[in-house]
Amino acid sequence: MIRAIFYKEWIKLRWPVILLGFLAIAMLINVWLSVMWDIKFREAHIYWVMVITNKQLFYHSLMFFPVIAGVLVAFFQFVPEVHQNRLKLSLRLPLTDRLIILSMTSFGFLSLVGLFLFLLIGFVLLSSFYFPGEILTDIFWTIFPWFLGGFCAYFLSATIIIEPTWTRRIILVPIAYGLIHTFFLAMNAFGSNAYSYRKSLLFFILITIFASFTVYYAVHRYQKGVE
Amino acid sequence: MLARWARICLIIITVFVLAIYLPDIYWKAFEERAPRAYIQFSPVIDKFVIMKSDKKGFRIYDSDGVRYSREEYDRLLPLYNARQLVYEQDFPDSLRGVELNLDEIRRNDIRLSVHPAAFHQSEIPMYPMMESQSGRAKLVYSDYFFRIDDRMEFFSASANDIETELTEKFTRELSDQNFAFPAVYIAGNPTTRKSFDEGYFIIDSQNTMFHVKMVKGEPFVARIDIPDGISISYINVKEFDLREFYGVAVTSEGECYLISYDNYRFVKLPTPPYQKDFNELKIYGNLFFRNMISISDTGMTCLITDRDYQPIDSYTDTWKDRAQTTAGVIASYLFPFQLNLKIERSLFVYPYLQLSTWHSLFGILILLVLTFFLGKKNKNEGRTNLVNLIVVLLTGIYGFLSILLFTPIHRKF
Repeated sequence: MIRAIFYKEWIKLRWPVILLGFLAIAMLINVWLSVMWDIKFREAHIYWVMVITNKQLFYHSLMFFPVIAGVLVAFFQFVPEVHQNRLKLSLRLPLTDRLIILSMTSFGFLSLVGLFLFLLIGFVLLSSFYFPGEILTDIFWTIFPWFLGGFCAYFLSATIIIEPTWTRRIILVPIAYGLIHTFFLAMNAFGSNAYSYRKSLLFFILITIFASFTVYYAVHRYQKGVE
Repeated sequence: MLARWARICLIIITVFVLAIYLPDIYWKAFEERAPRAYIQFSPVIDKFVIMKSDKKGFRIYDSDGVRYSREEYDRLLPLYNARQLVYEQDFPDSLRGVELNLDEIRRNDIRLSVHPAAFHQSEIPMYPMMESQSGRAKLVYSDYFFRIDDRMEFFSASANDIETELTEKFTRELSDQNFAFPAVYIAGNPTTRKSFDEGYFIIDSQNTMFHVKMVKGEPFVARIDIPDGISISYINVKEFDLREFYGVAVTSEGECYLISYDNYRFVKLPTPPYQKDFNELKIYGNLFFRNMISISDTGMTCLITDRDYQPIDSYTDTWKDRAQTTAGVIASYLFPFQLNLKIERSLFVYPYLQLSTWHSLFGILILLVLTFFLGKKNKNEGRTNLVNLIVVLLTGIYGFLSILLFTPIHRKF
């Protein structure tokens, strides 16, 4: 049964995930062409100084990908469910509603994990041609909070979409925005600070876990037929 | 049960967001900050001269209270205002028995600072090694970066690979001088905006300091014994034409030492009351004096010494910090705590919690009463009412807003 649910989710998400995968590739190519151009026309060591000493990010644009991916996956997964009340039917399947929702959100979450891993591994592999291990570690610590922000965007978008009343949806949007913003604070005027989230990564992982449960609040309100 | 827990999670997230943004918006709207006083020491009258602009207006006065006009102020600080006075053709030929020469004044003008964030940040442990005697007037970065773990490894940026010759040369030189790998702390001044480069000061695993730089491609390594009992947390290396010291070292106890050009002698720097994690320390110097300034949220203290670092005079100026202003007092009733993810004295993102004073208990009490009456309206939700009360008790206004916004599942708005 769970496999059937996964299959249903896959049908919904097939194209969005593939398109996001291409978006990730396009972003990687964009970043890498810029880096290669910069290294060709400035010198490699100037580039290293920029990255190491001045802490400038050469991969700013990747910042938007996790949140966009999270919102899009939630959108394509749950808008069809909520439209014409189809979720009510899904929830009547012979499984506890908890398990149904867990399967659905797990699938979305795992798709995002796949996309983010793809982006991370692709980016780190490309970077390893030009930069040493120390910079790669810094890249990981900079990007990881963005991924957490992407997960929060997914869970909160799902909550907002499933939530039946418009008033609550409108209230949730600024709260979701405020929360997601907290994952992107390492940027300052001219770049990023190395390992900014080093001391609080566990805290933010915990916040993401709390965010994951909020979907069930909306689902239950939906089930109770709250208008 | 899960529904209850889901609501709690939503409340936790909302409290987190509100605790950050409500105070943030509040301060953006209501914060008042008086501009800081500008404090200098005049070599003409041997007194502190303060320029201040606050509610009482703009005024200039010395430590005895005597007032001065702007033009008189310029003349009290000829070294600082050298350009203006030369422009007005009113620049003195000599002062305190010393002939004044613009180049000498510029050469002796030094400034250096230590910011609390220096002790609360991480950096990428790769360092650019500059050629310190390239024969060129302008400094340029070389292609080489190094890191020190079990040896001093040089990387070539253009090849993204280890540069073996330099690695072996430098590692051998360090080993010959009994460097205990790996390095514990590496400090330098990686910029080309200076007239010359003094390389790096590196502390090994046995708390010995080494001065390392690259001279005509060859390693220069000098071993420096750190005086007993000093545990250095931070070194601000800054190259000055004056060549009096390489930089300032700050210990884990907040004591400051200048590393002098005289055989790397550690000169203890007298400072006004200074806590390295909370105060910014600024070090200024001119032809006649040294000025050490310690700045906190509530005031600043200047300590003037002569060129031999013997204290002459000190001056303290205080101001209200944010919590003591009217807006701050109201905030202490409104907000039981404030969350800041970034603060000025650290570069780490972390939920810095600032608890309010006992004033906030009033606010919490009022909100608890309101919550209780809300609960009475919905008598059959015993457990939810209890949860609500606990939330409001712990988080005050943030919790109160959250429980209002996110009613228990089955209730409509």
